[in-house]
Amino acid sequence: MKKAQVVKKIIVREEACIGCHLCEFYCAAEHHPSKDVLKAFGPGRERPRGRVRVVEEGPVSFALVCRHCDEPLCVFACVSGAMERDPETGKVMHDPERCVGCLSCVLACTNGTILWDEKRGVVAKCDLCPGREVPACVANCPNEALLLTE
Amino acid sequence: MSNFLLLTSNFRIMSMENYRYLIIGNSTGGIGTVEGIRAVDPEGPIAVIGEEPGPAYARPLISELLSGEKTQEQIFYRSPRFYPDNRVDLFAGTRAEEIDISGRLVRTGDGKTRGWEKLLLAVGGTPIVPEFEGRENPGVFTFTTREDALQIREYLRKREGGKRVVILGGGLIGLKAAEAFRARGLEVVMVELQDRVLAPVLDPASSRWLENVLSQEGISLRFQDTVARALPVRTGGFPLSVELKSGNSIPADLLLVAIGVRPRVELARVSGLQVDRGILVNSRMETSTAGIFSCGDVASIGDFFTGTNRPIPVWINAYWGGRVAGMNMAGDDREYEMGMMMNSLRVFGKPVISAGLVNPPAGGGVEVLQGEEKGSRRTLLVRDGRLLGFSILGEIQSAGILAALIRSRAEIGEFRPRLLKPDFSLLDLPRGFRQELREGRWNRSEKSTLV
Repeated sequence: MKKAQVVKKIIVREEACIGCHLCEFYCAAEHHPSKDVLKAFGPGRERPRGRVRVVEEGPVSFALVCRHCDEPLCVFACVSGAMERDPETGKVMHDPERCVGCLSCVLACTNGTILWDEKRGVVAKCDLCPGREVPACVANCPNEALLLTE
Repeated sequence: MSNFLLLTSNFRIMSMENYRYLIIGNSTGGIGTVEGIRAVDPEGPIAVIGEEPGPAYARPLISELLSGEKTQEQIFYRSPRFYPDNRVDLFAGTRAEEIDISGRLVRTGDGKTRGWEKLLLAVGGTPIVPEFEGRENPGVFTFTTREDALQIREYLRKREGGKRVVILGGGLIGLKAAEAFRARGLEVVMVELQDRVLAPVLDPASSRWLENVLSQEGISLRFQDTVARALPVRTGGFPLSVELKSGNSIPADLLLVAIGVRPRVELARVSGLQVDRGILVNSRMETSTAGIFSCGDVASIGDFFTGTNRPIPVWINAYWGGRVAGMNMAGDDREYEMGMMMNSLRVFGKPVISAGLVNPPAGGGVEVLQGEEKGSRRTLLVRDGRLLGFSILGEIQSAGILAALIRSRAEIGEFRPRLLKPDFSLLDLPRGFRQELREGRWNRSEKSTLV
């Protein structure tokens, strides 16, 4: 049987997370047209949003980030065909142009890592930073709480 | 079995197209089946027969077509290259009229006969229209196809946009239609037989919450009522007088009947397949006849909670069940074990997600937990320390984790109160359990995976 392609994944090591939220900042900057932290978060600008979210309580903190599942239930739930598995890279990719904001993917995602952008009426999720060798969050985590693995 | 088919089977080798896989139905069930087959068998020839013309489109989006928010081109379900890329011959705009099971043939309305080794029926459902005087009136519509959306638009265009519609039915279809009509500037009166909207999908408190939203959006709600007559009486410029059982009359441009859909079992029944309210299938999505499968709104599937069969016509069951059917048609051995109500939509922008049992089933022992904040509310049903179902309106962020908890039948005792938090996330699960979810393991068998 043809197995799903292996794709590089971001592994979360919650024991190493110090709750600095830098992954959130660098993700937001990477997905801002300028791809620059200072420009993205400059004064007077609308605060940009990334696709990774840090949750914390007491001593525990970690990033919630899409794991590009071998079994992408979000792709299988998507009504509009906006959520697809890239046949070459195996990445689970979301097309905001086709998205209708039905949130079926949110119902399907067993990790709760798909973000709802109420303002734009579409969802957002990790795209493993196309154009970068190492995703921005992994590259900028100071304590290896986010790792890339093939 | 007709003489026509007996005659044709003699000519099988000479003049007929034979397919390893033949799929009747070109919506999400049929497409799921294609993708399930191709996950196992990259080459075996597939034919898809579709009653509606053209490539598959996303049926839930016909309300966007009605509102004008989307065009026909924007609601296709897959890219134009889907059929050639998957080596699928699509025969659209024709209906399967006869199945010869022993001869393994299907005859379509265009007179063609095709042979198959494995067959799947994903013929969906048909709208229920109650018997009432005037149901044949041109201003009376149902709303389940793209063509319905286009015809309603054309009808309203001739009425110079129209002023008021009456919608019979406060379920999913009725609500989405109401939203589309409001977007077009029409008054909407919604008439529902039960005492609340979305009764099969939501708990009573959530229905009430949503009804406030609907009222604020200008929808007039009438409960415990239904249509008695739709008379072509010209009153105040309206072509229809919709008379309700309660005695009230509503002059309107259009009456939309959206009270439900029933599985299209006729072809299956006549062909000899076992049928209850839908086409009966086992957990492999196979019918009473080996080699013939069924999925989607027409199928009567195993209910996750009761173990008995019933149609559970929601989008996710159709596609996920279709994948299982397809993989099995191609020789794999999978099971669909997730048959339950699962719905996600936005109603006037408000997210509404529910899954599992949201109204306590008979037998008692069910605890109902509720939480409400400004702009959001949540209901959970728990029995024997396990999550049976949930509904969330507003803060839907981690709805999928709750759905996973239902399917895994995990004991939620420790972290039960946390499930009500609007910002509930993996953080609120015990570490071991969240690590399992991070690694894609959550108490499911190999057989039940969809890849």
